[in-house]
Amino acid sequence: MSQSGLYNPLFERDACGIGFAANLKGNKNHQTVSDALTILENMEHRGASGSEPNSGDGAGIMIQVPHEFFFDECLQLGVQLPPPGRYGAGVVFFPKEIRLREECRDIFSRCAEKLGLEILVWRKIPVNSEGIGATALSVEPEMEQVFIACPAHIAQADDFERKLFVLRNYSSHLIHSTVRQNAIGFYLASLSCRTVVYKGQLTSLQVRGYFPDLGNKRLVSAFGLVHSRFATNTFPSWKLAQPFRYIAHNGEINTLQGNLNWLKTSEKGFISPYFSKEEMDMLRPIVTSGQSDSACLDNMIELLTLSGRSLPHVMMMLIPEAWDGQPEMDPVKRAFYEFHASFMEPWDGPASISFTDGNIIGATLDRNGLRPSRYCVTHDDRVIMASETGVLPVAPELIKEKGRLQPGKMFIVDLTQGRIISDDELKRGICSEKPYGDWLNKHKIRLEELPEPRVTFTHLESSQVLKYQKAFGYSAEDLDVIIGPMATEGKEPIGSMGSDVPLAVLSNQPQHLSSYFKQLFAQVTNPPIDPIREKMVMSLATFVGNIGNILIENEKTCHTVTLQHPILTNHELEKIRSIDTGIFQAKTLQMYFRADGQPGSLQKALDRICRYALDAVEDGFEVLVLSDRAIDSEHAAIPSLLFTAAVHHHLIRKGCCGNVGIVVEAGDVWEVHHFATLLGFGATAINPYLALSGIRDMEKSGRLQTLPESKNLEKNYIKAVNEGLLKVFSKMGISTLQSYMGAQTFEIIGLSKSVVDQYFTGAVSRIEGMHLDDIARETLAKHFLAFPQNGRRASLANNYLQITHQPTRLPAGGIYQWKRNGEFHLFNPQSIHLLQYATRMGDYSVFKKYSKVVNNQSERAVTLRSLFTFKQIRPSIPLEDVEPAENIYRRFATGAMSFGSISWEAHTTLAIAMNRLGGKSNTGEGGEDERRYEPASYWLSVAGSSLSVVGSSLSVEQPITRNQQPAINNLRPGDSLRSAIKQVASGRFGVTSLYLTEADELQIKMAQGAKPGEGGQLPGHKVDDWIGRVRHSTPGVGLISPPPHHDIYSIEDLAQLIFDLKNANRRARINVKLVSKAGVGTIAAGVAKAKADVILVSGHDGGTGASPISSIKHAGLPWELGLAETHQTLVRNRLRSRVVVQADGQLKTGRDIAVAALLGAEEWGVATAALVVEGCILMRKCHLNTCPVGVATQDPELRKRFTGDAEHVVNFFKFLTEELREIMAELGFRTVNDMIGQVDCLAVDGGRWTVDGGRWTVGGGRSTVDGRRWTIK
Amino acid sequence: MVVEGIGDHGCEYMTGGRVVILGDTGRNFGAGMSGGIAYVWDTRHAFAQRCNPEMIDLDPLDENDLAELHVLLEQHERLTGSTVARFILDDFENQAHHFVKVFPKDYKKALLVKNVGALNVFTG
Repeated sequence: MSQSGLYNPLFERDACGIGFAANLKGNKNHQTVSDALTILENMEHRGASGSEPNSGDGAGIMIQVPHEFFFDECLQLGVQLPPPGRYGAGVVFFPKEIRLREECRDIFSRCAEKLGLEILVWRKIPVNSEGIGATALSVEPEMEQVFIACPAHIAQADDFERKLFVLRNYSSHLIHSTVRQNAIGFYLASLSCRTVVYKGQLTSLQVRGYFPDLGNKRLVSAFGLVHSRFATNTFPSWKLAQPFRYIAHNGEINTLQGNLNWLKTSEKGFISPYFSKEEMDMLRPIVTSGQSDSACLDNMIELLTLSGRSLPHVMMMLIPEAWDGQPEMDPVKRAFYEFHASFMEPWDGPASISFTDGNIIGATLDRNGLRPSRYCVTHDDRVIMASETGVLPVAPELIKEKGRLQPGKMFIVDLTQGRIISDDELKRGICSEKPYGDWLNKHKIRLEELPEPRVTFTHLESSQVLKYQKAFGYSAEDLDVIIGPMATEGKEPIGSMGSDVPLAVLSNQPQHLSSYFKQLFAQVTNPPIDPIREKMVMSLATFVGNIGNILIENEKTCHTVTLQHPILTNHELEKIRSIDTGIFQAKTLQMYFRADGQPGSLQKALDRICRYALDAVEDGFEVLVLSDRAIDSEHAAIPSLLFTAAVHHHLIRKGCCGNVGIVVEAGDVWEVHHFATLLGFGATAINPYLALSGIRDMEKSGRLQTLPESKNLEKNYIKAVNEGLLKVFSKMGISTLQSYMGAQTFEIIGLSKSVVDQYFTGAVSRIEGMHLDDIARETLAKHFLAFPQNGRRASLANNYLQITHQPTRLPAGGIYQWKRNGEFHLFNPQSIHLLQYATRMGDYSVFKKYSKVVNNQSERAVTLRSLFTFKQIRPSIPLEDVEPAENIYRRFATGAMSFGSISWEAHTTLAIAMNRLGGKSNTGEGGEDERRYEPASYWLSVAGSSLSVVGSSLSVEQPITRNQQPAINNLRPGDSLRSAIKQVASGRFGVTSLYLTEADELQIKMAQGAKPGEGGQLPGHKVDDWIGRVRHSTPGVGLISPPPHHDIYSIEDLAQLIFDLKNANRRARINVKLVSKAGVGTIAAGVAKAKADVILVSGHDGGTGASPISSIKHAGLPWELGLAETHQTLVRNRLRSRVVVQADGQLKTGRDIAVAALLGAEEWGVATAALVVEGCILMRKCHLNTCPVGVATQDPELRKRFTGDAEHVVNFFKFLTEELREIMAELGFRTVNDMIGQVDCLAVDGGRWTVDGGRWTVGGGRSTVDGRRWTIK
Repeated sequence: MVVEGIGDHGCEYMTGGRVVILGDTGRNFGAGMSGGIAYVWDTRHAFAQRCNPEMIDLDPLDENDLAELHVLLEQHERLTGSTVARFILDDFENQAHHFVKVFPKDYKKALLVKNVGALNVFTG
């Protein structure tokens, strides 16, 4: 299925059930095959089906070549097969169309001939397609078996396997490049003299019936390896079913893009004694495009196994245990892992893998062990391994041993030796095959042991620091809010509330290039890693140098520099710059371009550095130091991210990226996100010299609040960066820096296709924007601020910054908090005042002024939706003909804000207001006081008197102190304080049976817009007696919500929780909260299949009580993209009618609501604006407990200042609805249902924005947003 | 809760209650543990290395702890017929020295502030 709209097949994910049954003694029988099929059938619940229940996501079985069966079958075809092992059997998927099929067969035969292989016979595989769903049948292939004789001169089975491998790759490549492709295509499920695979787009129950072969008693095998797939989407493809040729994989590879780039660059240099040069050429590319991550891993395992390593050895290389910082690990094993780490990065992600080469069969888990794998050994020599226990009924008295595979451990059944080999024995054997420890001691270069540098750069002089800071785009805010706290506290700074500043591409302030890059994160299909829990398996270790040819074990491959973490101090950098071990040297290149403002200057400079870099590699340098220190009035620095990615991708294209390590010495790197983007696009180590100079400078001038010794400040800063980096990796479910490097786990918003394709090849980008010359202009604006040689330059820079240049100061910034001369915020003093005034007075005309201020982004576009205009394609109708407001109120919800992050007053006011309207308020994740289920009469009767706590788990009745006394302004009879939506978050605080049954809707929070992929923390000082009681925890003790739900590591786990919640409360809708990101549509499809009722797509700009500042700003995408993608993907999958789609994220006006409805959301959440109505003035101090208006604080004195009133909130939602109805009337929609997903009514405003035929597709219209209007000519 | 051995990540994110472990523990014990107390029978003195020390202290047991532990062990022995519990109870004087008290730092602070003797408010 090809890319269409926002859907991209790259985003497809799957999760599955795997298992095998084997005979320990290697005896072949039919029972084992039948047992394996039973295992498969009993894992039906782990697979899934789409909108039609009889089209599965894929299932299959791998067995040993059943010689007796094949012999008989071939005899009937008039061919006598050679003895076992002397022929290969293949399972071929052909297109149904006969002409295409014969064309494929012809090419395949000619390939075999060319390799000197004789095709004995073709056998049509009988299939029974009765009961298979229409979707699956529409692309059902014609399956045939091919039998190939082993040439007489090949004695070893391994050598024959290699020949068959070459034949498979060569013929597939040739057929794909010459024969017209259709939806079915040509595919070889297996081709081997040892194993054979039967698989297809089937449910696990259909496999046995579909292949009559499998029911034949003569079909025998010593094992059966099975797999059942649960994919996030239902676009059918028979070849994506598993098992593959060596593995069945339950999991997800988070670092795939990086692994594939790595493979692409190193496969050109592959040399192996087992393959001739010609055969190597036939094998390449090892991994073809359009495959799933599991298939890519299988290809890699196959290559490494057939080039001479044992299968368990390969598994240990690709999916290593955590070895870094494990003092208890055997040194021999550590040496093995460290040696292999210097040239092979882990294929990282949750994984449970069963593997076999026909002689051994085994299973392994990744270092986190997040996917289950259980085994059972019986007295009658059977071994059963599966994703869960109990898949095959075994009489209890027969069970000899059973257990669970531990993280990073392996389990092998050796069918030739007839015994189980334990993890210890196996790994000890493999690790002591070669003297890995000695090799490391001999060749490894440790940074600490390097000699002192030849020359030392000093820190920049104070006068220069300011100049450099201006040139590299620092603002005063960056120093005070980011760098300062990192240096003094050693932690990433925390902020609160959502981001309401313009997207980088829409801002008129000069941006850091990395601001166009949004961090991806894991949700649902794979879990983010919990950096607290998994600290011991995470690693920042990195290796700088040449990785060489990985197909041959060579002790010199570990001749690299080992770093404990990727951040270098100036001194460490100089050591690397001066390195010379005889065979290992470094080369420094200068990264500047001419500051003449001419088109093409930057392009020319990039071409030059790519050329220089390649030359340096060819001249034998192992390290490239890319430096931007050499700037002057006429030469400006290239943004570090751009030059790093440019060099990285240039070297990949030239096939020599693996020969060199890239060290970046850059001025424009200071916050965690800057480091993360550099590492994600190819840097191996980074020296942030200007940030370090800035710290020294601030310390000298007394700008920093505390003054420990200078050394510590630098150390603190580096520690903060490192911890921040771990957080960024863990968001994506990646546990080591090595796998993160080059993995490109970002989505780019606002760079043109030409820039992305050339310099950020392969990264996700759906909204285009700036060209190279625009980036140059942006850089020059900053440069001219630092080097205002003449008046023209100074005025250009000032004009650009829209402020008068003050020579002695940095620009103000204003990104993290509104500032007079800073970045624009949607919630600014004017809009806040208008909104509060309008709702308090109940004055719709003032509200219209407010929404005009917010909507009128013609001068300053902030959000993607501001680029849309409504297009009238049907006649307007009178306002009275639009459905009444009362029908619409129920579609509103307030955001999930916990009692704890906001005050009792703020929380109950929202609940009362939403209940008055018929909308829904949300508890947030901290539980709910049981007394809120009491009717208003209860509250009216107790008002003013002292209350006692009822229904708590406290054994004593504890009177509520004065300051806890519920203050409810203007409570009316009939009001209710109960929140309709109850949230179930990862911490499960306050989730009780009563809580669940008191809900109309249960929301499972998988991610939060402000900090997707991260957990939350309520500091101990905010947990007073009351909050502790509601959350069922100890007052005064801080509460942590982990990043993942520890019972949801995959989509089938989520399905389980949904099932459980439905049992806990069968009236409630189940809502799953996701955050917008590239691929959220396919995840939503999976969630719909897991039987959720509502899917909420949150924008990246959602609010928060406390989050790392870099997460608020850099993680997640606007909801416009995620919502459109979700709607499109659900429609394509015919799942849209099963679920309600909800959107939230800085929705402020009726126009915002209308855009959300047109993009596909029938319900909407509003949080920040509702808080503003309650009195919030965006002080952004929620995390400090010092909210001056009593909204986000538990301080009793501050809470007294709360002035909100439910009626104000009611007014707000009435106004929103009114405005929405006006738009509906204008566009001619009578009901909200009519307008859901009607994207034809949206147009990108062509008058204001340049449209240049790109890729952001909203339904039918193809348009690209190129929204930068500033120019410096 | 009384158990006779656990794997990795024991007592992670624990917020309240009592745990007694009469056997081996895996790695990363007590990660994110903010409340409650665990008593670990650590005969080989290998436990400290396997803890995640970020949020917890390892303390000796005081008299109240020992009394509570004794009650829990008796109950465990009575309900399960555990030989391990019987062995410890029979030699309680000596075996008591092998126990380590895992006490979350925050929880300790909260108890000090409140200065309440009755610790068993929340049992989870």
